Amino acid sequence: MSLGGLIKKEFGRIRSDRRTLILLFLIPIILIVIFGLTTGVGPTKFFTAAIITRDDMPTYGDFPSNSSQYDEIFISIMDNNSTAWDLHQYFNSTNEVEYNMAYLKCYNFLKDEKVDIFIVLPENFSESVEKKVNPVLFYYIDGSDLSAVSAVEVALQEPIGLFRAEADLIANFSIMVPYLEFDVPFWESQLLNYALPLILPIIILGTTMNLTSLSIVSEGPLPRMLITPTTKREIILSKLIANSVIMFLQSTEIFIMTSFFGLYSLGSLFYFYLALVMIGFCGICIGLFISALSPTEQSANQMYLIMFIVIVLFSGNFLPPELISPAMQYIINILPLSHAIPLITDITLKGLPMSLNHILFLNLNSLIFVVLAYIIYKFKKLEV
Amino acid sequence: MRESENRKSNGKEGKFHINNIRGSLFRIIRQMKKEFLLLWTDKFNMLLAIVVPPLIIFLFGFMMNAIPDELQPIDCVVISYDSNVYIDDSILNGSVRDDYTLPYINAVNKSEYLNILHFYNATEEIYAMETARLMLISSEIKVIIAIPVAFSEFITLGLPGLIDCVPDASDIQSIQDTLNAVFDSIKIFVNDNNLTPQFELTGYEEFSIPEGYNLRFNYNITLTLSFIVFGVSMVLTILVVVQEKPVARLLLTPAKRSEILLSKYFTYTLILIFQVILLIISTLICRLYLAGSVFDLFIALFSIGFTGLSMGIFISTQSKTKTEANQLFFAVFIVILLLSGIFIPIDAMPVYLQIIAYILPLSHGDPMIRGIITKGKSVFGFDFFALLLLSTVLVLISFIIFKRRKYEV
Repeated sequence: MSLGGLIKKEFGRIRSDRRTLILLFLIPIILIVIFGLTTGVGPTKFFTAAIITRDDMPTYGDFPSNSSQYDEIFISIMDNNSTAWDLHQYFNSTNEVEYNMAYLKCYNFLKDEKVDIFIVLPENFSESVEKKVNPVLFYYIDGSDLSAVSAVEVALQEPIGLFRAEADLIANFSIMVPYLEFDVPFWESQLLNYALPLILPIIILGTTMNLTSLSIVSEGPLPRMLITPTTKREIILSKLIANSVIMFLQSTEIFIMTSFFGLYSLGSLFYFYLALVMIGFCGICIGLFISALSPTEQSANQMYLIMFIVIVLFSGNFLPPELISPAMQYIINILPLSHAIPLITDITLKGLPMSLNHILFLNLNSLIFVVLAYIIYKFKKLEV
Repeated sequence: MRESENRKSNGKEGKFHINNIRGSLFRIIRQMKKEFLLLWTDKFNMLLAIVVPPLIIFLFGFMMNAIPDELQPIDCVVISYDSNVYIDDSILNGSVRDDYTLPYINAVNKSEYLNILHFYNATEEIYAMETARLMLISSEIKVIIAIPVAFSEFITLGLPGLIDCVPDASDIQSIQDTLNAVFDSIKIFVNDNNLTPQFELTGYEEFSIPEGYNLRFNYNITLTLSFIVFGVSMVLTILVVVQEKPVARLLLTPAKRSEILLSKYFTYTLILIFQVILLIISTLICRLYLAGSVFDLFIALFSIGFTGLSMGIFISTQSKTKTEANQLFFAVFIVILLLSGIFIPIDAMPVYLQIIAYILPLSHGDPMIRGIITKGKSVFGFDFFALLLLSTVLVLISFIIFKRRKYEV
């Protein structure tokens, strides 16, 4: 059978599998529509807090006069004026017994994840504000929530700034004003556009790998074809071409859908489309490799999942590549997602052209997997 | 006479029941044996299901533990506009004060979180911002820090001194680290220059990972574990019913449908137990900090795995062909994965997506395991019961579908 005939046969096989085709084209649409219709989810971290004020307790030493007028202002700012904070509950302790009870309640709020943090205003809070000496705020945070731990002190600057303005403490106050560069504007679909560099490659890689991971192993009559003049090379090539055409259509669909549902891209849309195609092609090659290697359909499924887990886990999303050793970076570099994510980020959010380094690695990946698929299939023993 | 007949018949019935149960158990055990033999024939599959997941954990742990403890400072450029002429609107007086520029540069230099690549005085280099922006776009630096024109004047006049910072926001995960680093330089600046009063923040971390344990590994392992145990047990079972051709012929024997399905559940549950034990051992070897008990962790992983297993068998019972089962698995898996909170935090999703996410099993895995590992919580909380409910529903539906399914011998 000629290569053209094999490709035609492969199309027939794919077309007969209508459900796969439906899923292949439907899943990206559903996800893009869901994420695309969601607005207003940006990079801001929101905190829920509880406050215990000990300000009503008497103070001695440097503060002979007892004052407690400022704790309520701070609590009110946390409750009503701050954009990054939500006040869950506050407790006013006038003695140690009340404080211990409030502390226990707040500790349980923290344990049950009802709050991210609880703040304790000390006995001398109002006095320190009045005398313009450094007021101290104590906070207790859930240390297992790394994102909260890293963001809390900067986030507290907002209510502190508002409080200082209210209490006339603006002298010597230094604060940073962030202007995010290459961010997604608030009027655009932030959830979709921030998630796009991650979810698009995952969807494309996942669906294309799924499309091809069973293409060799599940085709019963394939060994019998080898009795005819058809060669193994032609079989692999026909599968690669036919599945690439399907992937091409899927990439086009994803491109149109993302453009329609709020794609925010500073860069060239052509580059964006090209990146999608390259990622899809890599998925096809990995799928063929899995299919050639696996002895049964079930092991092909298992291998697909394992490959997918490895690709997602070591893509650089969990591990910043710059932090790890060069030997480990080599492992990360051979995985397609490590190049796909920065490639799309650079195009959409930074407006850069396609990075040669990422294109090279991505296509090298495809080449290696397709060559491996061919070699494995060539030496595979098939029973007719 | 009637009483004795009744007693006899009751005795027979009782005997009948015991024989029934015995027969049923015997058939289930035989079918489990058959299942194990069937699994044994596909050794490659078993290797992938049992040996590879702990290997992934080892590799993940090795990579995380290989990350050096020392801080990686964030590369930045500082541009000062402070020596430009500032005109005070109220008195129309020009000022070129820049007394606080150098102290701030010193503070940036002192900060272990920042690394200055260049300093530009915008009075002399008017294209400083353009140059810095080109560096930002090419990822040479992560942030541009700009000291505005009235910085020194404002501090001297008792007004807030503002520091502008322009972080690269294309990498959403690193924005907070960048802001923290700039904030650190401001803290050093106000302390070194005795600019009082300042608010002192004294933080205490509860439930944090103690020193000596790798923070990154312990933080990321919760998602990884639930992802692996759920995925592997699901994929292992998606074909168990649909690919078994002799099921129809098996039904001609005394074997009941419920026994056939039950034997599959038991077989794969035993494999799951073995899998979970191996995963726990591998995570403990990789220095997992565990505030709770190993038993709680085992039950948590088992409940996640069992949900995957029951979802796999559910897919297998309701699919007519292997291809259909594969497709359904993939569709379910990708949706579960994308809405699990691994990529987008569930709290950041809109309400309708949050509802879907909380119905899906992977969204319960992370909080449940994290609670056990860091807070020493009991496994029997909301997440466990949500998973239990989900798996019970899936098991029941799979039994109903399998019972009503038509087979041709």
